[in-house]
Amino acid sequence: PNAPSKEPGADTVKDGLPVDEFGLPQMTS
Amino acid sequence: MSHWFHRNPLKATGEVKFDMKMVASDSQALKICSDLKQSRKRVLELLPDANHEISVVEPALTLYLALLRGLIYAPDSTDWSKLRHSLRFKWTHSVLGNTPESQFDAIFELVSVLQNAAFWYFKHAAKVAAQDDVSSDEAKEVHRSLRRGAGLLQHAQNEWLPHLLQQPLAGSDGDPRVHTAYLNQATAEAQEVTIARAVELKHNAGLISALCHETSKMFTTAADSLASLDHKIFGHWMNYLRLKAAFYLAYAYNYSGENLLNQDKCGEAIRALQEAKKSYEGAAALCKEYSTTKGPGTKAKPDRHQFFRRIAPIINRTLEKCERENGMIYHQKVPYDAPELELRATYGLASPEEYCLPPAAPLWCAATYAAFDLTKNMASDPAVNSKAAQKVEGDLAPVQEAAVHQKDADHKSDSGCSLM
Repeated sequence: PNAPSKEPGADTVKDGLPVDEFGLPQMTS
Repeated sequence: MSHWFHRNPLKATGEVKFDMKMVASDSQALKICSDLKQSRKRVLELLPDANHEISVVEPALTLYLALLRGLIYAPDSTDWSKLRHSLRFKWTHSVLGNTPESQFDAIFELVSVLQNAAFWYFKHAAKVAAQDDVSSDEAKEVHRSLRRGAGLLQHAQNEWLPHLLQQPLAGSDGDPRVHTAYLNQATAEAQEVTIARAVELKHNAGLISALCHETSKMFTTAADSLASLDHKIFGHWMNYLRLKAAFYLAYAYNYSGENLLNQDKCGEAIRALQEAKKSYEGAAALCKEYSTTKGPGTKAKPDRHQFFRRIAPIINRTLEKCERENGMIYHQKVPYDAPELELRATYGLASPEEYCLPPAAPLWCAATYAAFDLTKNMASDPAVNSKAAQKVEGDLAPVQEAAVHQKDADHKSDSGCSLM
């Protein structure tokens, strides 16, 4: 199966943007 | 997310006494037999209860697999152990009922235990998600459990299943079609957690749409992989996967519509929202089909869940708003074809967590290994090895799984999931 290559938690920065444990961009408060 | 996930039954197994013959009485070899029996029993006691903590199940699993490894590899070697084919293991398959498959192969035992442990992780994820209030840490546990379970399945399928002497039975847990369905389902469900979080945190509509589209495609891949199997057995599970695919397509088009409206593309937004409405109605129809199709596994009630219900009024409201604004402000043509969804999500994708088998237990050394007498093993005993003798033993009782608390009331959050 073509499972995505990226996984949450693998990066804390993606494309220069900080991401959370789920791989979502960090929200600024 | 109570009643949100469909789960298939656990695999059942027969008792294994690990009564392996020895050249001479060797205390360490005797201890290995005893530890194998006890640690297997412990794992089998824990797996039927999804309420256990991971910190309880994981060490028990690791202990048994470390001991079992000594039946697969000779000590300090990559050669197969002389004991690999010395014991008979029998296991049922998650969707094929109570008739076991049995093999004189420790690798068959390893594959089956890894699969059953993976199913426990899936059930544990569903249990944590069904709690009254799910904290951020618990949401991570749901996400991690799904990815870990997927990792166990992938490890069993890729690393061990090819070494079995017998081909997997059609529809068994080793059947690549069934494996593909489980793997895509678990990964898509992990992404569901991320979607709920992205909705709660009000992430960019384009990001949510892309992630929903990827998730819908994964559920479709899972359902398609079961399509060639017996519909009477696999139809119930397949309908769950299809309804989830339709549901996330509705979400994808809804957020695509919102994203297009934000870019003042009102005509295209209307068309996306019309498609969202159509997919949502399709998902609702599939929910009914799922609930009336008989088959193994739990009966989820996704259409009763707040996360399912919340999107219908949102689609209608946004569509009405778009139509109103298009009539008054934009005057754009509504395209005949639905707009293309993002093909690849950038953020929030999940994948199976890589799994490595633990090293062999320290008890397995060359001297202990030498103490076992291969000439007296069960595999060469026609009394237990014949097909007739195996048939007499008959079916295995299904595993009695512990109840998991499922809440019917709605969560307080916007998405219906408390993942903050």
